[in-house]
Formats: sequence, structure tokens, C-alpha cells
Amino acid sequence: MRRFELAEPQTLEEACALLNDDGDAKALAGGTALLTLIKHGIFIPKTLVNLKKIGGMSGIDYDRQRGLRIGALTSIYDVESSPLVCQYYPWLAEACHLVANIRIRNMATIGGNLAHGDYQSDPPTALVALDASVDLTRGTGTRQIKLSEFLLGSYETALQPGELLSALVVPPPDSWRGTYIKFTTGSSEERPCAGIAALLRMEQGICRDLRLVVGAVSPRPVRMHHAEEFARGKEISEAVLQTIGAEASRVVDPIDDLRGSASYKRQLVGVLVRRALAAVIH
Amino acid sequence: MALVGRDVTMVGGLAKVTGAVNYAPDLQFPRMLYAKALRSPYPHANILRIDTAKAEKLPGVVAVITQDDLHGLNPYFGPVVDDQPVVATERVRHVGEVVALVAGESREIAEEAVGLIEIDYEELPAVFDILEAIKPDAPVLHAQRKETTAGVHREEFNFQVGGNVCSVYHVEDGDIKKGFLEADEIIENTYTLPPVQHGHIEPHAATAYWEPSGKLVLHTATQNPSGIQEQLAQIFKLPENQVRVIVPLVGGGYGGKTHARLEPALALLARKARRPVQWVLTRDEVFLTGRRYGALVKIKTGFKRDGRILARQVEAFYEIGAYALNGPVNAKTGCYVSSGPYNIPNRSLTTYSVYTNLPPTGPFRGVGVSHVCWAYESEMDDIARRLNVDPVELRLKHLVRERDIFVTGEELISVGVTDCLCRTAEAIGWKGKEEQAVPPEKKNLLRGKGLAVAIKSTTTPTTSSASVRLNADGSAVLLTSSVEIGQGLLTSMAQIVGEELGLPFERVTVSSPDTDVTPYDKSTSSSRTTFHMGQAAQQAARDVKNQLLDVAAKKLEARIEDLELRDGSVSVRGVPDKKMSIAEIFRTRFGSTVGSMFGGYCFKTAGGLDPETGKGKAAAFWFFSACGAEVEVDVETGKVRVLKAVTAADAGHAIHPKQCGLQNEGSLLSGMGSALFEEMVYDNGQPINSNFLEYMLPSLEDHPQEFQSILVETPHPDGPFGAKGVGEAALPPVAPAIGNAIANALGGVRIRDLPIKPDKLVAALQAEKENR
Repeated sequence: MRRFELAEPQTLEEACALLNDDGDAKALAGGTALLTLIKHGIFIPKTLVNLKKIGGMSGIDYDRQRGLRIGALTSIYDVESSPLVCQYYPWLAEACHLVANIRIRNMATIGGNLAHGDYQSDPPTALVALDASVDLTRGTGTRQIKLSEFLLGSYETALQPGELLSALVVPPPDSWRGTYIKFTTGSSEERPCAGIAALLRMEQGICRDLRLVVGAVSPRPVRMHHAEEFARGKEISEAVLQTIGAEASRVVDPIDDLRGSASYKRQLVGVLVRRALAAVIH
Repeated sequence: MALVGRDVTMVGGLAKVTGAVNYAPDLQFPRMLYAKALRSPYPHANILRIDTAKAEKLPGVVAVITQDDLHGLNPYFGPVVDDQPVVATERVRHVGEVVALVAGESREIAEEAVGLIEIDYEELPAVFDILEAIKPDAPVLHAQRKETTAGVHREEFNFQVGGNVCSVYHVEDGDIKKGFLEADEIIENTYTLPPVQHGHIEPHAATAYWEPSGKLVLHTATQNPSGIQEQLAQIFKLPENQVRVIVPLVGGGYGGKTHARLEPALALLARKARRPVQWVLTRDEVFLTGRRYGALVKIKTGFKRDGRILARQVEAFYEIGAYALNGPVNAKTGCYVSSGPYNIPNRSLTTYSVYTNLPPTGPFRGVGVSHVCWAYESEMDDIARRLNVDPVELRLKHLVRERDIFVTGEELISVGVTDCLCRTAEAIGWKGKEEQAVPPEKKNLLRGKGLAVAIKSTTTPTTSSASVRLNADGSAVLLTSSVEIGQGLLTSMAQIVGEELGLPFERVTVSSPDTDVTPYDKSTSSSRTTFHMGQAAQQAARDVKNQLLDVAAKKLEARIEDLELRDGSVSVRGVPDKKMSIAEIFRTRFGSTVGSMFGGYCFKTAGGLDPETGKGKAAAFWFFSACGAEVEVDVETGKVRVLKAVTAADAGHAIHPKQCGLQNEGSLLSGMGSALFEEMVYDNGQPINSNFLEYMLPSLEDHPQEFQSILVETPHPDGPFGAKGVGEAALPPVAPAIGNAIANALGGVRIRDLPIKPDKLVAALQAEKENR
């Protein structure tokens, strides 16, 4: 690895200023993704800005009205093992639990995971289904945008130069029942070939509302709006499951990668969506 | 026996799990520099110009070597063919080839300097595919070749000249044409295997320095200290005692560290820098340095309707990358076992090692055997399905037995393969013919069981020497150049020496290799250590024992045959009062209770094959093994889970049963990875998944819920206490056992190209549906 400067700001303001002044500088949190990219020479930054010395950027709060708020520096393991997350958002705990292995999850942060913009990841899919938002700060002011608008593509996000993701905000879970399915084509610790998040609200056997998100098959998690619309007001029979699966399979725009061909992923999505919904119902 | 056959506590286990071990990358030397390589970005190119001026001017850079620094050396080396340049000369033949090596005060400085070296290349046409490489108009990698004068017995290969075929090996039996003519049915298929990684946790790492006397010292993570010594002496034109190779504990090898990799260029760099230089590869550099051969195996079998297999023809092409390394050895070792551990009257077996512009290969656990085993064991199940007979019965009808004559013309001894198969079948719950029954339709999760067996040779003839030093206090050390690479020889060799000398386990230690001190050993490869070094160690200990008994016999006025050596003293059998401690024996012999008693032994196996006929003696001992697997296939997604697995190996006589079991388990996991998902992927010769994020090994989550290791024990007359090696034994049958289990789950749908990834299975199932 090449030499680089390590800046260790104590406050968000300082960190944002450092990143703003040096366009090549990269923010470093858990390092599980960034250091791999540096090792491979994809980035050769002169300066890394270590965020870990900034206080108050980790931790998990829950409020029945506002929902869940997770500091960006909270480790993925801390998210999956938080009693609050496990109680109110078990699907999010599951999606975090399925990331890589315990050693990675202890290092990686939830903020870093989102800001990295890697489409082959589990938490973003579950969080888009939960309609989560992210707080983006320049140190002075903060703007909040939906995660679905934040994630723009493969390694592309809405972060502006000098801006940092400081927190993650998830609306109250209401009466969702849900699941997250990770599917790997290789080792079980691999990044997903496909990830499906399904949240369902049922009343007397009838679907009141559905959130269905397909992740990892295309450059960003995609909500299946047509399928959601189709499901509303219906009894979720085997035939409806088949139709929703087929619709998801039709709508996704998969890309080829080492985890599977586009045509394979398209077919896979149909199967997994059907299974995810069946798992929620049963 | 007091020690042999017992699961004593593994030596060094605690130090490893607590991180206390200093591996080669952890070593520090005064004034040590760090090396970094400039590597070729092209798969095939002429080097037009190298300018290192800017790099050399960078503060902190001490030396840079290129092709201009090779004067006065033997600049080419290799275990079989002298085709690897110490650093690239005039031409690069693969992405990642070392063109220059920099020594700097820090890793960062060395890396920065690498970026300042200017090189002009002229790209040449390159070839990557085995079948493309053997075409007459393919770009040729090595127009001229020189066989090495060091190392392996080169007379056993048929080297080719001209094209990219490096070597051909052929052996036959009976009359293959007649065999096929008499057959009722013939099946013929092609199987392929991609390159895969060894996956040793510790990367290649070494430190080199030159003593003022002109002696080269290397601390290196190698499986082969004697071979490195021999190779470096040849390159630098030094007597072997002017090259000292010291090996710390090695963090895994699996064949990846059997041959010289870093050492030649590093030694040259250290000589120029006049300081110690350390070179530790990054993981992506490991991917550019060694791997398992890719292969394409054509197999054709003729059989009678009554189940007799009459003829088998195999033609296997091993893709060996840009340099020969042990490619010809691999192809030879694969050749004579390519029809399996079976008696088949008519056979024609041919293998080729073929150069391509892919990064280099090297030995890999199971050498050439995994490739052909994948083909012949898949084929055995297909034949059983065609004949509607139990695949186990079909195998049992043909399996080699004790004293059968193998295709090489030699008599087989210590043949536990039938036991391996039968016990594995029982352990996996094999129900016979019905395991191949077509499953009921309309189920997403289908289960199937599969079995496979393997035969493998150990490299022959070879030599291992050992010496045992007994101290007057009754403690002993075994001096050996065999390497602890995680397999546990520090434990098993101490058991053997302790058993022979009647010493408690704790009183025996095993040295690390240091070629100034420890005697010659062929290498820690080919699963040969327990058998060869074990025998040398036992005999060296017996030498010491004889000296002790000799002294005691005179003093105690007893016959040697009546003496026994136990718990640190010699006594007359049946007369407990008449005894002498080791200290007393030392006093009697040397006049005081200090000094050392030395024993030594050089164990040499006989054999070798005639390269023209392929006949002779291929192996000092043979490995036999079996694997059984039960899988669950998700037919909608193509995902395969291995629910249960059994691996069996004939250990001869297990010195440390638990360590043998761990070898069987390691074989399973390694084989499972390459069966189901491991595959190195290249784009125009450039690896595109060269890290453990993109190329993943099986994790603990992938480990079958149920695993069983079986040790069959068919004692070998030449092994220490009857022991044979087990390290590689159980790996080759793993992939075909899993492949057979999948085929049995799916009513015969078979993937012949590894790995069996979900997309391939889904496509095969769809094709099957459309054909129906």
C-alpha cells in the first residue's frame, strides 16, 4: 500500500472541511471496503480522513413516533445485535447479520456501508424497503434525503464533495411483517448475487400494503412498484405469488458479474421474490 | 505402543492460536530493506526498453534489479525445465511477470519507486485456451527449452519441441482397439476444471542476505528447503554449503510453496543492496504467482452389458501457464492413474502439459490426480446408470486389490481402497441401486448421495535423511529438513522418534529446517513426509538406540536381544534390577554425563518409470481414498448444499489419528470449494478475481452439518510402523462425489465443467426439460 497522510479530526465540521479542501481525500470509517480498493490501486489517496475519532456518531435510538436513528459509525454487528433493532426491525437485523462474517461486521460501519454505494450488499436493500433516510452533513448544516434517492448506482451516491453521511433514520415499523433473503452463488460469506426485502401489511388475509425491493442484481436496490400495486387489496394466493414473482423478474434490469449472468439473475429474482413473500405470509 | 497411534497434544498449536508464532513475514533483521516488484501488465510482450534511473534516484531506494543484473549467473531455473528467468529477459509471458525488483527502506518507498520505472513493451499475440495453445499456428511461448540439471528425474519425461506442448506422457495396457470393438456400449465425454487457488493464509514471503564471506542466507516460507538450496546454488554458481536456507513455521502450502518463487530474484537483489531484503507478496500477487492447473480431460469407456469394463481411453490436457514448473510431473502423475484404481484390461492413457500465457501454476494438493479423478469417477456413475446397476457394485467389480498389477506394470501393495469405499458407503447411508432412481417431480429441494474413489502415487524415487541427537539427560531432537506447514509433523515425527527411543513425548523435539544443520530432504510435498521422513527418523533413532544398547550390553553383561529401552533407561528383560539410565550410559561411554549421541539415516526409495513405455515403478506407496457426499439441490435456483460428507483414506497405520482426520476434513473443504464455486477468472490473461473478496473459499457456514473422517489402516511394509501419507489422499474424490450426488438428486443430469455453479445447473435443468 502506498504512503498516505492520516488526518484525525475530532469533530464533524473539521472532517467535512478536510474533505472539502482536498477533493482526493477519502473518508475512512471501518475500512473494510476502502482499504481493499486502495490495496488494489483503484484509489491511491494522498489523504485519508479517519472518522473514528469523532464523538457522538455511533449509537442507536428508537422513538415510537420518529422511529429508529442509527449513528453512521455504528458497526454492522452493533446494528444486528441491538435489542431495539431486533425487536422492531427484525428484517434489518437479519440483513445486517448476513453481511460477510463476524470479523467484517465488527469493523464495518452502517454509514460506511451505505456511503460506499456497493450494490452487492445486504443492508441497503432492507433499508430501502423500510423507506429509510440518511442525514448528510457539511458540518454546519444537515440535509436529509431518502436512501432510495441517495443510492444512485454502482459506487455512486448523492454525497457532494465535503459532505458526510452522519446518521440513518428509519420510520416506525407500524404493522409491517417482513423478511430479507440473501442469496449467494458461492461461499456463504460472499456478497449477495441477489437480495430480496419484502414487507407486508395484511388484514384478514388481504394484502393492505406491500414493499418489495430487489437488491444486488442491478446497480442499486430497486423497488418493485408495479408488483406492490398489484398485490394491494388481494388475497396472496399461490397464483398471486407467481404473478408478483414473474413481474419482478420482468421489471429488473440485471447486470452480469462474477456472481451470476444477467439472465440467471432475472430468473432467480422471480423465484426469490415468490419465496420471500411466501415466507412472510407463513 | 506408547506414542504411535495416539492423539497426543499437537506441538505448537497453542502458539498458533494465540498469535505467538513468528512466520516468515514477521521476521525482522537489522538494516532490513523491503522489496517490491514491477510486474508485466501484458500477457505476452517484448521488452524494448527499461529505464530505472528515476526509481534509483528516489530517496530511500537502495537497489533495483532488472535483466541487466543477470551477468555471470545461470539466469534460468525451474524444477523440470530451466525456463523461468530470475527476472524477465527480453520478453514477458504472463501478466504479473516480474520485470524489475526494487529494494527500499520501507515498503511504501519501494512501491513508489516501482511506479517510477519506465518500460516500453511491444505486445505480442497471446494464447490462453488449452486447445487454442496446441494448434499449429498458436503463438509459441518457448521456442527453445533446456531441461534442468537440478531436482526431479528428468529422464522420465517426453519433452516436446516447437509448439506449446511441453511434455507428453503415455502408458497403455492390452489392446485398446480390440477392447472397444468387443464392447457392447461406449460412452465418451469431456470434463474440464478451471484454475483454482491454493488458499494458504500466509502469502509467499522470504528474507535474503549475504554474509561477508559470500554465503547466501535465506529465511523463506518454503515447503522445500533442500530444493531451494540446490536451485540457488545452481543460479549463483555456488557450492551448496554456501547457500543456507532456514525455514520458520509455514502458514500453509498445499503445493504453492514447493518450488522456488521469490528466492532467486530476492537473493540477487540482496546481493546488489548489500543488506537484508524482505519480500512479502500481497494477496493479488499470490494469485499471479501460483495456482492449480486448468485441465481438459477426454475420457472414453467401452463396457459389456454384463457390467464388465473392457476398455478405457483417456486424453488429458493440463494447462500449465507460462512456465513449466512441475507441469510435466503433474501430467505424468495424472496419466497413469487416469483410468482410476480399476482393473481394466485395455487402456490407452495420454496426458499433455501445455504452455499458455496465463500466470504460472505449480503443484497443488492432489497434483494431476484431481483432474482425471473428476472425469473417471463421474464416468463410473454414468456407466452404472446406463447399466442400471449399483455404482458401488460396479466399482467393487473392478477395484484393484492387494498384489494386483497396475497399468505401470508394478505390483500394488497396501491397497485399502475397497475398505475405503465400503466404509464410506456405509457411513453415508448408501442404499444401493435406488440411489440413482429418478426423483419424483414437482419438488424444489431434491436430495442425492454420491460416492467416488481415488488412487494416487507419491513421487518416486526420492531421498529423505534425518539425524537424531540424544542428550545425556535423556532428551532428544530430530534434525530434519521437512517443513511444518500446518500438517503436524512436529508432533508426528516426535511420536515416531519417542516411540523408537522409549522416551516420553515431551522429551523429543523436532527442529526447523536449516540446511547448515539439517540433512537433505526431497521436499515436504507429495504427502511423503510421514512415510519417507518418518522412516528416516525411525531409523536414525534406531541408530542411537543401538549405540545405547551396545554400551549397556557390555556394562550389564547381557545380550543386546535381551535388553529393552523404555522410559529413559535400558534394562534386561525380566531382571528389573539390571538397568542403566541414559545418563549412566553416557558416563560409561564418554566418561561424563555431557555430550551428544548422534544417529543418522538416509532413506531412499527405488523406482521410476520408462518414459517410452510408461512402465516401471511409479510409487514407493500408493494413496487410496474415498469420498461420500449427500447434497440438497434447489432446482429453482441451482444452489447446492452439502448436507453430509465422509472422506476416507488408507493411512497405513495412523501415527496421529486426529491429525489424519483433520487432513481428511481439509481435503473435503478444499474439494468442496473447487467442486461448487472456486474458479480463477481471467480477462485477456489478467486475473479479475484475485482477492479473497471476489474469490472466496468455503466458509464455516458452508461446512456440512455432518462430517465423518474414516481412516482405513492397511500397513505398508516400508512405512514407519506401517504408516503412509494422507495429506492429499482424500481430495481428488471430493468433487466427483459431489458431482455424482448432484446427478443422483437430479435423475442423471450432470455438469461436466467445474465448478458446478448455480447458473450452470439451472441451465442444464432447463435444457433437460426441453429435450424431454
